[in-house]
Amino acid sequence: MPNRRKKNRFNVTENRTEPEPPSADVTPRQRRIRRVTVGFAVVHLAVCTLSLMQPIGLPETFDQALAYAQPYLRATRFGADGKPARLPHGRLDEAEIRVQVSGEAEPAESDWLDIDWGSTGVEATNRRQRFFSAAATLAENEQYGLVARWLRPLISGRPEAESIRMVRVPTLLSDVVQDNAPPVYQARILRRQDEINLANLQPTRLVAIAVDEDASSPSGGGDTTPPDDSPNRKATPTDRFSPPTEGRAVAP
Amino acid sequence: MNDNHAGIRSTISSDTGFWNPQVNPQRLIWLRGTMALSAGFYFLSALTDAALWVGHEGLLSRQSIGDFLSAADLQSEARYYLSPLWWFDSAAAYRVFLIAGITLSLGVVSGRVPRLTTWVLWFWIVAAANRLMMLAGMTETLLSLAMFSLAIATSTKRVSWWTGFGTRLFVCQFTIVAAVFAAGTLNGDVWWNGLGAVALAEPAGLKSIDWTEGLLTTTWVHDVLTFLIAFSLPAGILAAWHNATRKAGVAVLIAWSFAVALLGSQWLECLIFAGSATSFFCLRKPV
Repeated sequence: MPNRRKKNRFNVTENRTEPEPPSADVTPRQRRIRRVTVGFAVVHLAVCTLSLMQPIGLPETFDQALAYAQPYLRATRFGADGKPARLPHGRLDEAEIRVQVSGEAEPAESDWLDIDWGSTGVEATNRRQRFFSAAATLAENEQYGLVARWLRPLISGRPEAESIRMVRVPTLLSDVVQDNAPPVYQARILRRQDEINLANLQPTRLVAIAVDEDASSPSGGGDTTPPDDSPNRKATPTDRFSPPTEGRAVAP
Repeated sequence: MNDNHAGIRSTISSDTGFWNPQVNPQRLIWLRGTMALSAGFYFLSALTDAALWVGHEGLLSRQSIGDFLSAADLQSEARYYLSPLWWFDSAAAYRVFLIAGITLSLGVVSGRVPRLTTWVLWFWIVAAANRLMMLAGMTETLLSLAMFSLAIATSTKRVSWWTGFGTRLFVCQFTIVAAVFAAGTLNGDVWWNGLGAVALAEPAGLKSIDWTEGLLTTTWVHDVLTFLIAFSLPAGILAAWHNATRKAGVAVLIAWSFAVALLGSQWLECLIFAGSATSFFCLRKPV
């Protein structure tokens, strides 16, 4: 039977009887190239596997090996880059982050307005969500300066905005404590000529204070006392006139 | 013992059947078209909010990212995110780049362009993903891996060793991604207690369809959906690697992608996933 070859419109020639000739007739040079290529493929697959598994958790040895492969993985975008390769787990950090601005320096709950992004599609919404989730994570790690740098472009086009905050929207899987948690980030916008600075208002945080047993305390020893730095507290003159250090918490 | 060594040698040897499989070129071309179409959708979706991210007023303008990286002391980590888009910090230039990406994708789908275009399209995907590195997720990783191996598979004029090697690489990459995806998913409690489908459908405000007020309010429905979604992915992958159950395995993987896309609105990621699952059909004998 003749070896019929048909060239299709996709520039690939189809061999209808034997799609692949036996590799016995390859030259030593070709064989060497193929061996190197297969070796590369095995290493490539191993490195990709490690990168995808990194968010789940890797032993330290693999973690160090992966550090050497980062130039390859980042330049080619083959790695997961720390992003988890999985379906959602219903965790708090997967909840929707909403960015709100207010024209009031000391806004009430009803003064906050969501930023209108327009109708840009699901993929654009996912991108925004990734960005603000990362910003929320930074805020939770008290990296307020970095959060301020990320949010500043949002404010520059809104001269009427006096305050900005990021809140987590409750889900069916969040509990009552999470639903009533303070904003992830809240800041006063301070403008000076062309310069925009954000003065962070720290959220409520419980602080354990060691109390001497002999000391007279109205609440008794070992009490857990919330400091007076809730987001709803009134701004003090210290807030207003302290140098607008970007992203740093204003001392109460 | 010797048999084991022979098996390992066979796997890593360049001349044996594993890295030199028989390929159905028509199906390979169909796969390349599907992936290129997905890349086109990726560029199209990025067009809708280009000005929000790139340009002097963008959230990820070059200045903004530079400030962030220097403040976080991450410059050395970031130097490998290579992209020509770093040279042009304007929304207009970014839009032109995306439109060029769409054109390239359509060219590869049509097949009326030189074979080198697949490599160029891969470069375009990586360049776009590296410019907005903080936003990139699994979609970009899947597209980059897929286009890289397809560029190898279709790099020669005729069906050759490289065609088989590239196709095998594609299938292996997809298997690894799907296996890690399944393991990562099952690592969460919600995928064991029946609430996984609800977690997938949340946050409802960001999804195309809100299932949390209708379908998923019934306990047995989200229990069954959670079970099916959690276990059909590893089952589908296992079935697709066996010649006898290959069609059923691929069908399960496509159904899984469709269900996840509907519930979680991860449309593009699931399109790439479903398209990649058909790569098993490109090999005449996958194992």
